[in-house]
Amino acid sequence: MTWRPWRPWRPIVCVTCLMTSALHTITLLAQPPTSATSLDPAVRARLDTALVQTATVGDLLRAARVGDSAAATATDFAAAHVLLSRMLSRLERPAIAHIRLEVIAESRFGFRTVLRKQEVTSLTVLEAASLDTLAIVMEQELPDALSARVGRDSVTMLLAPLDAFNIARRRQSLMDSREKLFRFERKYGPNAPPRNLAEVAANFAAQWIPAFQPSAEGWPSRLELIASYVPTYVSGSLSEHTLHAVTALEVGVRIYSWRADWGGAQGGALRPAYWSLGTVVAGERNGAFTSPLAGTSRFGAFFGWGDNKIAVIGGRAPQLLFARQVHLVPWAF
Amino acid sequence: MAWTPQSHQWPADRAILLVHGIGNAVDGDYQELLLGLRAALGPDADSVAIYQLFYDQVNDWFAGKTQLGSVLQSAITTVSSRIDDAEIGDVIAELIGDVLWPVLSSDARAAVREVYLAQLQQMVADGTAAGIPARDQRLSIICHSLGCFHTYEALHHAALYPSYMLQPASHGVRFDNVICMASPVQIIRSVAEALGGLVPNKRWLYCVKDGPLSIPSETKLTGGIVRSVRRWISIAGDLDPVGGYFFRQRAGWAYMQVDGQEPPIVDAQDALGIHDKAQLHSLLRSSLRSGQPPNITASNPHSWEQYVANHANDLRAWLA
Repeated sequence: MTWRPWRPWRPIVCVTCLMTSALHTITLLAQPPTSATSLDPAVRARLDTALVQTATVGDLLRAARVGDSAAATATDFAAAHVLLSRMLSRLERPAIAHIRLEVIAESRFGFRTVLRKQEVTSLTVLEAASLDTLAIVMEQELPDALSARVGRDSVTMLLAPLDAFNIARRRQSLMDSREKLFRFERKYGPNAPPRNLAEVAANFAAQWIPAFQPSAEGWPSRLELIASYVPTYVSGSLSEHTLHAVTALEVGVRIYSWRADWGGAQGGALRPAYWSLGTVVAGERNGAFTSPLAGTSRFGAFFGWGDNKIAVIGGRAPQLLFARQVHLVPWAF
Repeated sequence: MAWTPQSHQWPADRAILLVHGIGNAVDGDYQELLLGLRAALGPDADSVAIYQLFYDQVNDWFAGKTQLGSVLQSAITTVSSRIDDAEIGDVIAELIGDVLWPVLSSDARAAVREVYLAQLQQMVADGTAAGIPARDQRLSIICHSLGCFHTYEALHHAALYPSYMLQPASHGVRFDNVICMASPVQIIRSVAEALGGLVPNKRWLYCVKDGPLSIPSETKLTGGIVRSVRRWISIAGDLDPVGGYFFRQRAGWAYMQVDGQEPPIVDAQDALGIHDKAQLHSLLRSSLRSGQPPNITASNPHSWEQYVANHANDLRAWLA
């Protein structure tokens, strides 16, 4: 807590600054909202969404300084003032003032960016983190502290750069949400490979394994367990010009691609929505619908590229197997 | 087909999100409910943007891949064992079973939560597009049945994770009202606790967190707690088992009581003409459909339309 002497002239100066800043903000308005006339007359000052494209770091810092000054005498504002001052001091480098807030929002900077120590546009990691904190403190503290002094309309005008920044970040977040849903649909939607009962059970159990869980922020895992009885593998013999059916048990993992141009009709066989790998077990004898555990089992590995799979099994005469993923009996195999 | 959030032009500074419960609703459904709400709001209805969240399309993605038959049956058995009523216990357990399955799939929960949060983001974005900063928007949610569970989970998640830009203090997104009608949140909490280790990923299942059910909130950097919801209202019917009443008897393990909510409202559902348990059993049984969500008609004590009609005056006052 910082003690500051009482300066009776300060509110007057602050309000003057505030209005000056507000006028400056108004000059930034590229165009008024077209729907303004249909809005409730009780809501007088409206946000100009054109600012989303034009507002810069400099505009945000200016709003923070003016807001901080105007709210300085508000009750319980001392802690916020300390935080704001600290963040503002970290953002004094002139070179960053011209950076558009929309560009920063599109770079998805945030706590994770800071953790990874990624540079955001031309901001340093510390500047990016400070900008994030500054925006948070402004929204958390300034509206209530200022409303009683200057009225809600002036607050709306003063904090317009902050709102522009948050609008741009919310838009980005909405795009992220839609991307997450695209991924969930790829993994679970109507075009996703169906699961048999064994896979339902295996993937239910896999929900306790972090790699198979959705992330804290709702991104689905790429991984899915495979446990499948496949009676449709074929193996050929070049010397005998024959094809044999081979039944195998597959245990492995399916890995989804999140690339939008992969999967479905657009991706075709070359760019499938998923690939897979794992272990195969075949019985001692070739044949369709045989038990993979009959006799001396032959072990090997399989690799799938979309619905097309290739496998190698060992034993006395190693064989190369091919299959196309089909579900002959729902919930079974 | 990819899911897309509803987007509306705001006529003023108010918006309401309607979140339905169990069912197979698609865009365009619940027209009767919409008309009922508009009638309740009266002339104010024209100044409110009304959104509806349809998430069954996303539920359907999981239906094929997560047939949780035996696990779900164990959940229903858990419910059944808690209902000490031989006459209606079985049918209530079956009805409640339909609201339990999201608990058992963490991906399903995450996907529906993502749909919900995307709709909220779009709602706030529509408001800002109309020139109303998020902090000045007057947002309300009216949810029913399983929609109450998704509301509880989504709002808690939004308050916790800044990346959604929906936090009450850091982003100024606060709801004037959350009105829960026939909420199964406490039932889900009780059953999830009883199932213990069978419930995956409890870390992001907010209704089973320690302590009482709570209104989502955010702690400011300078201290102080800001709630996401100014007024949390819970309405149940005394014949509606999903709301925690088993033939006019409140079941403590099934009735939702959120810390800090308004005084609970319980509708006396005498007007439905259900005089004994056999009648209620018959009505609930007739609503059950094999392999599909129950068909809730207006005469059913779980009917959303009836709740809205019964509280038309209250809604007008709360949402004004």
